[in-house]
This record gives sequence, C-alpha cells and structure tokens, in this order.
Amino acid sequence: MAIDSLGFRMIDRLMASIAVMAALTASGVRAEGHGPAFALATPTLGKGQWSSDTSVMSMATGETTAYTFREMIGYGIHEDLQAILTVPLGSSGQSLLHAPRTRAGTMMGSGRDVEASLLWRFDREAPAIGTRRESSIIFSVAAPTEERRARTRVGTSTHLGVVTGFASRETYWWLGGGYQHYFEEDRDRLGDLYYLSAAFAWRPPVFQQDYPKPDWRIFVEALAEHTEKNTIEGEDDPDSSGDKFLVGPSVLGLFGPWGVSAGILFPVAQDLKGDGNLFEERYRAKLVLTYWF
Amino acid sequence: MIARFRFSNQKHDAAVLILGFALANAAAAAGLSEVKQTVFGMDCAPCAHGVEKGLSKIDGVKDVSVSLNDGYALVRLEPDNAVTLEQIRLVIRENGFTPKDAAVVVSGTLTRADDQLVLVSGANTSRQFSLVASPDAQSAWRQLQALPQSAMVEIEARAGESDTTRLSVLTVKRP
Repeated sequence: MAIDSLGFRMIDRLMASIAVMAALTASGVRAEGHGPAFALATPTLGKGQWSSDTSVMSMATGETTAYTFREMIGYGIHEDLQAILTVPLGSSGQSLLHAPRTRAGTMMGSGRDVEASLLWRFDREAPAIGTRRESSIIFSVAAPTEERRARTRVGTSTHLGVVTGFASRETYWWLGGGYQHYFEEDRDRLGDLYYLSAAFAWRPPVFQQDYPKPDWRIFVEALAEHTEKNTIEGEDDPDSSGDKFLVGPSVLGLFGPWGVSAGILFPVAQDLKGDGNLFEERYRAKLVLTYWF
Repeated sequence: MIARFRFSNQKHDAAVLILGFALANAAAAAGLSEVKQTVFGMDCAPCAHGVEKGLSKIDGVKDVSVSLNDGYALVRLEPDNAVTLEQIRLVIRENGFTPKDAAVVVSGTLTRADDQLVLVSGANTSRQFSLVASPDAQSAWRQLQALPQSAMVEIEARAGESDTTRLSVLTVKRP
C-alpha cells in the first residue's frame, strides 16, 4: 500500500516526536514501559525508585489527525504503592472538533489533564523464578488545563481502575477496567468514560536471554470504551456518546534502565450516537520512552 | 646485658603486636564474603536493574550480578564488611520481589554451645550463625566437627527462606 501525503506527514511528525523525546531524555528531563502501551497493567516501582515516561499519542478520525504529548513521573512510595503524576506537554496537528473521548493510555490521563494517581498493588504472589501474579488498583484525580474539550467546558475528574495480571519470562497477560467521572463546570459536563482493557504479551525465545541483554516483548491489546453524553449548558449533547472496541499490536523493548514502547489500535467496532456529526476513529498510535532511575 | 635484655623485650613486644594485629584483622575480615540469593518474581530488565542498583548501594558490597533466567542476585562483598543477609533480603523485598533460600560463603570462629556448632562471624561477636548438617553434605559436617574450638573457618552454606542465622553446611572451604 503506497503511503499517501498524509502518511508522510505523520511519519515526519512521529520522527520529530522521537527526536524531541530523545532530546528531552538526554537533557535529563524526567521519561510506562513496563507493560502494554494502551491497556492497564499491574507493576509498581520499587521503594524509593523513580521513573519517567514520555509519550506521544496520535488519534486520527475522519476529520484529521491530532497528536498529544504527555509526561508521566512515577515514584515508589513502597514496593506495592506508587505515586504517579502525568502532565500534558502540548499537542500538535489540528484540533479535533469531535475528539475521541479516551485516556492517553489508561494510566496516563486524558487529553490535556494534569492527573495525580496512586497505584496500589494489593495482591502479589511469586510462585516461581521469573513469575509473578498480581492485582492492582489505581485512583486518580485530574484537573484540565484547557477551558473546553471540543465544544464542552471541562471540569475536574476522578478515575478508578482495577487490573489483574500475570508476568513471566515467556508470557504476560493483564485484564482490567476503569471509570472516569467528570464534574460539572459552568453547567457543562463531559460524560463519564467506562473502559475495559486486555493485553497479552509474548517474549520470543531469542529475547529470553539473561539480563542485561535487550528484552523485547510483542503485545496484542484490546480496549473497549463507552462514553456517556456530554452536557452543554445543561442540555445533553447528542453528538457525544458512543461505544468503541479497538484492537492492535504493540511492542515493548527494555535495556537496563531504558524502555521504549510503541503500539497502534484499530477500531473493530464503533457505535457513535447522535446525528451523524461524530467522526469515526481510524487508528490510535502511541510511542513511549521510559527511564528508570 | 641490660641492653640485650631491652632489645629482646622490644622484639618480644613487636612480635606480640604483630600477632595481635593479625588476629584482629583476621577477626575483622571474618564475615559474609559472597551471597547468592534466590529471588522469585523478577521477570524483566527493569526488575533486575532495580535489584542490582539497590544491592550495590549497600555499604560493603563489591559487586552485584543478577540473573533473570536463573532467578538470583549474586552479591560479592568487600573484606571487613558488615553486610547481613537481612539487609540483602530487605532490598529485594523493597523492590517488590520475594527472596527465597540463599547460598552463602562465610568465615568466622567456630565455637560450641550446648552441643551446637556456632560460627561467630565478624568483629562484632553478636553476629552468630548456628550451624546444622545438610543431608547431602555429611562429610563437610564431620570435617567441621573434627575442628578444635576457636578454629577459624570459611564455609559454604545454605540459609533457608526464613532463616538468617541458621546455616546448613555444604562445604568447608578453609579450616
């Protein structure tokens, strides 16, 4: 399939994003590479450990393509409790008038929110060498940095997610779900977001060589989202709710304290409510650079 | 005669000093020299990196190597270190993983208390390990039992998952 002009622009912008993130990382600016690119995952940092995840996510609809840059800083309060702060680093491309309602990765917050979270790994078992079964819960509070998201004034929000999973030297899986509730802002309110996520990963035998050899995993991820209607001036916005189911591959590469994750989701099914003014998504792509201090 | 006597006394004092210094250093040098700690739950590079970094920060650690596939952290220690097995296991727990049995190389002074063999390790006599026979290393146990009280020894032993002061003797490296 030939790459059209839009594809070349996207490639150029992704390359620019990679360069920006590499520069940010090299300059010491502080870069979720421990799991899937989009889905919820369970691992927490060790006590006193810091991490930085710098990401760019592109969302393409029938309108155009928009890019969102976000930074996530993690800190291990103790081995089963992690504090997370995610902030927007900016966006590029044209604004989506009918931007898909989602989170920029289930653990990285939405759109241009500043989000603070606690990730608590409340259940953990290590039955064998290289093997772990665990479950975590994440609670977040978020504040927007923009007045409106698409056509709706956006207020503060809370988010709750729960995830369970299995990690080993060969395979991984995580199943989770979450809910984000937005509060009213001047008679406007973004509709609540519900989601389910699933990820399965395989570490090919060639990458099962011991530390500190490079470590790569291939994921298949799935994300199902349901968004409620927005409210504008106290009235429901009919062009604002829907259901989506997206599936796609991602890869995660780890080398010592560095990680890089890249993935893409394609909509398998979309049911957008309203009067036909919402644009269907074409894909979501994400790139994350991670560093563990 | 007085001069020769004084010189002899000086030589005697010097010899005592040298012996005392050697003994003191021997006691100070005694202790853990190597710990191969089995770890469950480490699945990926950042896991190993965190454990490696955390263990390297312990004062007295010379070098650390971590294996994901074989599930262990190998810690080699400086002479005169004051590192304990508890410290090593705490670092592993604080990284979110589970320490299991450990194979250790430890030296110290052999003593007997209530028919039990005890290894007093390190300059601090409160660091003591009670020694027991390992079912698959009976000859090492007999060798140890045959040594005199207060013998300086270096042994290879196993510490159970919940044991930090009880060692199953595997080999006697140096009587």
